Order: sequence, then C-alpha cells, then structure tokens
Amino acid sequence: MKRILKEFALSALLFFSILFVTLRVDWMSVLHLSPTIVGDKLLEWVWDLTYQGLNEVKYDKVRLPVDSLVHEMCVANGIDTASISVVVSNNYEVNAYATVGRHIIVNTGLIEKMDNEAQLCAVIGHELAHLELGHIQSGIRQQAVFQVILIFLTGNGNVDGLVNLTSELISNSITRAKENDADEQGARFLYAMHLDPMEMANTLETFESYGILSYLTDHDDSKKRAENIRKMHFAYNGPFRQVLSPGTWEELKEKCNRAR
Amino acid sequence: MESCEIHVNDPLVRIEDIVPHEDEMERASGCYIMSLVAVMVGLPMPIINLAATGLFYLMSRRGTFFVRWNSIQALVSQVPLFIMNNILFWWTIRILFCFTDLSSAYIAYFITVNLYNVYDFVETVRSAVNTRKGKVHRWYLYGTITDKICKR
Repeated sequence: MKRILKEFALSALLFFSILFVTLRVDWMSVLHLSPTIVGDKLLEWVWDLTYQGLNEVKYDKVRLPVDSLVHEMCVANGIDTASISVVVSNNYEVNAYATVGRHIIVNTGLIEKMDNEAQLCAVIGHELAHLELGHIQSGIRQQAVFQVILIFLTGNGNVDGLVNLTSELISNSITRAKENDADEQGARFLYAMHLDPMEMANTLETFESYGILSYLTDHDDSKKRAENIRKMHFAYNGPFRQVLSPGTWEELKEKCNRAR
Repeated sequence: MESCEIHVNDPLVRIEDIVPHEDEMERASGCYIMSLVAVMVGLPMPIINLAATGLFYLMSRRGTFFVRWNSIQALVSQVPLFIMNNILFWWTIRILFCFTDLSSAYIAYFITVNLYNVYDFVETVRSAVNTRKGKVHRWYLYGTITDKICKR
C-alpha cells in the first residue's frame, strides 16, 4: 500500500508539474486567440446563412439614405458607425430587428409604412438601443449554437426558417422591461440627432393602429409604451431638422414599394 | 514449457515469473488492443474506452492469472484517462456551446491531458506487443495497483 501511495504521489506530482508549467504560459496571446473565438465564428457562420435568406436591396437609392440616417444617428450618439451594419431586406412584412454580429435588418415593408424619416429613425434607434444596451448579447451565442445544431440535425440550412427563428429567439429573450429601455434610449438617440423624440411614441402608435406588432413578438401594449415615451422630458434643443431631403425620402419609399 | 497453471495458486509467484500459453498471450494482448482501439474510437466520448476495457475485463475475469492480471492493468490504466478526458470533454462542450470562454487554462489542460494520452497510447502499444511475446509490461503505479487487486 505504501508503494502505491508513493507511486501515486509521484505520478500526481509529475502530472500537476506539467499542468503548472503549461498554466504559466499565456496561450491566448501566444496563439493569438480571443476568448470568444468559438462564439464569434459561429455567429459569423449563422450571419452568413441568415444573410443568404435576406434578399438584400442593393439599390443606392435605398441603401444610401438608410446608411445616412444610421450614420447620423451613430455620430450624434458617439457610436462607432463601422460597428453597425444595417441591411435593407426586400420583405413586405412590417418588421425590423437587431441580430447577430451587430446587424440591423430593416424590411422594405416597414420603410413603406413609415410616415417620415424620424419614424424610420425611431425604429432603427430602438434596435440600435437593444445592441448598445447589450440586450441581445447575453444568450445570443447559445442561440447561434442552437441554430447550428438545428442545421446539423435537419441536414440543411433552411435560411428562411433560420431568419425567422433568429428574430423570434432574439425577441423572445428580450423582456418587456428591456423593450421599454430600448424605447427610451431610442428616443434619446432621436433627440441627440435633433429629430423629434416623440416620433418614437408616434411610431409605436402607428404599429398599434396597423394592428401589426409582429415587428417584435413582445411588442404588445405599445399604447402603454407610447405613453411612457410621452412622459419623458426633453429640453428644447433647437428646431428639429430633416436629415434627408423630402425628395430623397419619397424616392426611398417609392423604391421600397417597387422592390416588391 | 512451464505452464502458468502450476503457479496460479502460489501467492508468492510474481506475474513476471509466469510463462503463459500461446492463447493466454493472445487474450492478454487483446485487452490492450481493445483499450487502444477504444481510446481511438472513444476519444470524443471518453466513457466508450472505459466501458470497452471494462467489458473486456468482464470477459477475461474467468481467464488465467496472466490474462486477468493484464486485463486489470489495462482497466486500471483507463480510469485516470477516463477522468481526465471526461473533464476535457465537458470543458470543450461548454466552450463549443458558448457557456464559457476559451482560456489559457483550458489550453494548458488540453496540452497536459493530451501528453498523458500520448503516454498512455505508447504504453498500451508496448504492453500489447510485449504481452503478445509472453512478457509482462508493468506500468508505473498501475502495475503495483494491479498486483494488489488481482487475486491468484
């Protein structure tokens, strides 16, 4: 028994010595790895698949005005524009959502329904707020893994289903409190870029009047949410401005309508 | 040729003193081959190699002392491997499923466990070859434990 203990101690000592030596090395730096490399790669893959099913509208007359609005919003709110990617998807559904890899998807159906650029900015601001407030960071990687498993199990990357599933999973993970936070933050984004923050409330009421509310599954009770926005206090910061010329805005809506 | 049956009931006889029959050599060597194949097949799922070696031990437990001794040594050698590989396996799963981040500690453990796997692999091959030749390849620690466990 003594011999076993002696040999066991020596073996354990050898094992832990090797482990101790290897633990002294900063392998992440040596191998140039990031801690989230697995999740990041998965997200990239899921985004590639999601993007395939989006049917992106690439007309400059659609892409450039939307990019301008996002750029203005980011600059006014100190957000790195390069870190945000907005994709306009040719889809009649009135929908917009933030998804993996700091991408915001805006459907042409949504742009058509908006009365003015401030309302479109309100929706983009709401989604941007979700990204900035970290609402969809937690759990999004697990969702990506879930999708990867699903793809392996089903044997194909059913991209349409994947896109719906992504938006559904993400929206389900966002609580009502987080939705309210995103509304308020979105309104602040509008205010910072000298747009009427109350357009956030108008947009929510617009959704209510259309009876759509599919634009995020937890977006019921938008009347109440609109009321919350109207209760917010914003000091006067000069006359509200127009980012896009009226002609550009009309052309954007027309192109979205025609893209169908 | 001296048969191991003569020595089986003598508690003073060491495993090294036994001269096995041809079929005993084959069966004892099979224990290591089994664990070797199981390690290769079961690397992603560590339970497989332990289960396979355990199964082979159950099949060999009514064999002669030479066969039983070698099958127990093969089984004992799989236990630490099973524990280490299991930790590595679930740690890897947690990283792949994004429940935890990749870290230097993981890579350090990965290297250490893989070094141990290589050592185990080499020793298993040596054991299989030596046993087939009728020689006993005694592993450090596991050989001593096997002496204690294996009843004549």
